[in-house]
Amino acid sequence: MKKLLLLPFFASLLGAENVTVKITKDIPYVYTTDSGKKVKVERIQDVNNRLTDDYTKTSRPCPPFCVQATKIDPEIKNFEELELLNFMQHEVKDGTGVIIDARLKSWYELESIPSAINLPFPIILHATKSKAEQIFKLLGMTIDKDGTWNFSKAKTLAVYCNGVWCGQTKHFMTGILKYHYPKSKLRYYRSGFQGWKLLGLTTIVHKEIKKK
Amino acid sequence: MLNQDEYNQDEYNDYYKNETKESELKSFIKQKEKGFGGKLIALLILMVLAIAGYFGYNTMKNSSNSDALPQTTQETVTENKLQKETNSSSKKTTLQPEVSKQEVKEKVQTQEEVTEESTAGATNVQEEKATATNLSTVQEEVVKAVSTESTKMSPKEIANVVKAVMEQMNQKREKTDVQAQTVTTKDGELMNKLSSSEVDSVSSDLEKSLNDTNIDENTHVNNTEKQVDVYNKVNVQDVKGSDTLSQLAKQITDITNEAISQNVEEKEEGQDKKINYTQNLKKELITRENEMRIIVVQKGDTLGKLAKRAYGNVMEYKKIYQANPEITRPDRIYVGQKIRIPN
Repeated sequence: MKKLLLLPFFASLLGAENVTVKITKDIPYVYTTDSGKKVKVERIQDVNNRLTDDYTKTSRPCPPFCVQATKIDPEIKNFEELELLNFMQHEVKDGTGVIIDARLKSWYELESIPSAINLPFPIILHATKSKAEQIFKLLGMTIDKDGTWNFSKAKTLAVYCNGVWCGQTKHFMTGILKYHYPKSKLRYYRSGFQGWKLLGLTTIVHKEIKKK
Repeated sequence: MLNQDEYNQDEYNDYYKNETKESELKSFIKQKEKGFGGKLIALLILMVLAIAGYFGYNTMKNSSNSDALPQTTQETVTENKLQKETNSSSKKTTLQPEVSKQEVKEKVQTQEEVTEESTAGATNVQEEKATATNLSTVQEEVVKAVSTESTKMSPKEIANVVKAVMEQMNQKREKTDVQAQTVTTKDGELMNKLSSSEVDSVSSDLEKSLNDTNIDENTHVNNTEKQVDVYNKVNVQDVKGSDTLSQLAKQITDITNEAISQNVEEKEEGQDKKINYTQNLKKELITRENEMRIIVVQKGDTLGKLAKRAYGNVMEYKKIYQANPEITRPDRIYVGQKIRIPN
């Protein structure tokens, strides 16, 4: 009987050995959902892996692709990978937060961060009041009896784009702040998709481009 | 909430402590070596082992492996050698695990021999499969031995056996890592020496060997099934979810599509009008699309053939080879494999 009790312990030891490249010392991977599918978010386990011809382009004309300021707004908190993973596991899971991919739809479709939904920056930047209302309602905003937009139950948005050279998040923030979305409910993942890729973290492909 | 800075500081402190302890012990050994002799050294080594602990030691070893480049002897590889390697590897048969009814420790020894054999040559998927099969057999044996009452093993013995199995797994992982780099370096050198015609002839031979055997196809079938490739990309192209998040995504996508149909993406305001940001983004998208372009390997495909099809020149296969680091040898592609075709 004692031997049987020891089995799960040894099995867990063997299982734990499989994760060579953990996210942190204590977190080997996390789970989230995307398109209704359970997704294991982990890092590439091949210790010899390099990014090759995949988000490795270093130089684009500036302007418009200039290095972004560290903060978009003093009141908007910045996020990095660990905060985003934590957000994924808590706020996204319980429905109080959403990860927003602010890039153009075509960029999002090629590859994105797990559980992120796409709200391209031009849609928000050029939204009419009624369109903004429609979008904000989906994001949890309510309308008071006097017609005031009430953001108390609005979701927290963790917004990202391509990375430090990309201004799509900044444009998104400009658009959403125009309609007074609370700054306390906005987060900026500045390293963006390139930072995510650099760590070999799991990504989602919505549209595969096949060549014959 | 996790704090990255704090975490990194803790990790650094732990690492630094271990480093300091090691260096202190080394200097202590040097000082006392003359006075106390071999016994004291042996005692100190045991102490170091006890402090480091088994798992801590493994972690340190893994991290140092990932940083250090393996030093390998470079061989001059000729076309004949490549052909020889290819032929011999295609002729190799799958190693069958021998299940002994003797003690489990004997099984671990057998496993050691098999692992040594399998890692002796170039990286071979078939050998890896055999090693993995043997490893799982050893594990099964352990489970069987523990669960049957007839086998009398104390928990300590079980712990020893499991530890031995884990050591085997670690050794195997290290050897595979070193081999992968060795083979890649060797191939890089080989590629530079081959002429266009040589690549063509090698390609046709390899095509033949590919047709003769479906080893790789069978080995990699699980990866395709899981929809997760070696780059941790999960393909959800044909997946439609019905959970709350998916529904929200769908509703927002509908709004997005409607706006796109009204050319909202094309609108530019103020300074942006001059810069035309979205147009520039779309230009950059072409680069990205080219990076993301893949082909699915069909029967008879070789890197040379794919290069000829994509770029009109067989020698351009290097481009494809370099853009796909999971291909450890140019002749090792399999039917159904997704390969990136760079621009």
